[in-house]
Parts: sequence; C-alpha cells; structure tokens
Amino acid sequence: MRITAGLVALARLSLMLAAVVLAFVMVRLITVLQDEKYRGL
Amino acid sequence: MGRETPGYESPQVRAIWTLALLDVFGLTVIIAAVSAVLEIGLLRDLQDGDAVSISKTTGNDDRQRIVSSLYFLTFVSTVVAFCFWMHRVSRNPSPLGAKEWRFTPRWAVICWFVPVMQLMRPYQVVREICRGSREEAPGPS
Repeated sequence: MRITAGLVALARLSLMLAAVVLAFVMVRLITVLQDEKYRGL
Repeated sequence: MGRETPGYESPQVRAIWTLALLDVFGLTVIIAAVSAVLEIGLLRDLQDGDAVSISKTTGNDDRQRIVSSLYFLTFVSTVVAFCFWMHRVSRNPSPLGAKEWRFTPRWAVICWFVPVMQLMRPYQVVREICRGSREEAPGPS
C-alpha cells in the first residue's frame, strides 16, 4: 500500500516538474514580449 | 527605458526573482523525486522480507522530512514570486495598447486559486496577456 503511495507521489512530482518547466517558459516569454513591445513604442 | 508610456512598468526584476525561484523549486522537485525513489526501494526491501536496519529506516524518515520542508518552503516562495510577477504583467497590456483587456491585476492573480475557476481562467488570462503583449498588437496612438 505504501509503495503505491510512493509511486503516486513520484507521478505527482513528475507533473510538478512539467508545470515548473511550463511556468519557466511562460515567465520568460511574456516578460520578453512586454519589454520588446515597450521598446518598440 | 526613460520614454514616457504612462502606466507601463517592466516585469524584468520580478521575472528574474520568479525564474530564480523556479530554478530552485525545480531542483527541489528533482531531489524529492530521487528521495521518493529511494523510499520506494526501501519499502520494497521491507515487503520482500529483507533485513533492514532501524538506522536505515530512521535515516529515510529524516531525509524525507528535510526534503518535504525544503519542498514546502521553495513552493510557497515560488508561488508568492509568481503572483507578484503575474500582477505586474497583467497591469501592462492596457498601457501597451491592448484595447480588449478585461481582467484586473487582482483577479488575474486570484483566479489561480479559486476552485473550478482555476481550471479555465488562468489560461484565458495568460492568453490575453500574450495577445496584448505581442509586437503587432496596436499600441497607444
């Protein structure tokens, strides 16, 4: 039973890592987009 | 950056903090995953009836406790930094000329935490921010 809980925790951590990568890309992209557009105004 | 575009504030500094904390949190997630794999191995040994010393099990518990605390701390810090960054970038589309901006900065942050709403609204907010921040979007005349 606890092994199953461990595997579930591992799956959750994998999802969290995917979310971190997604957030990283999003933060970089939007920040660059806004600053580029501001410079172009 | 000395030009006058009323209301625009660069999200650069907040982005640097958020990205740094995302790095630290990502590393913590990897450490937590390794720790979980080690624990699963230990539990498998116990299940198979192998001899496992008490020091090994208490060591595992101590490691898991430390990793969990680290995970919690980095997670909360990252969420706080992300919220500050989100607040800043959701204020900018209007000064950058977006005409159909319909989310207040406060709601752009809160929607990530409201049950049910968090399934759809954050995506809409980010999509609108991207749309309003793109180069070809019309700027203020």
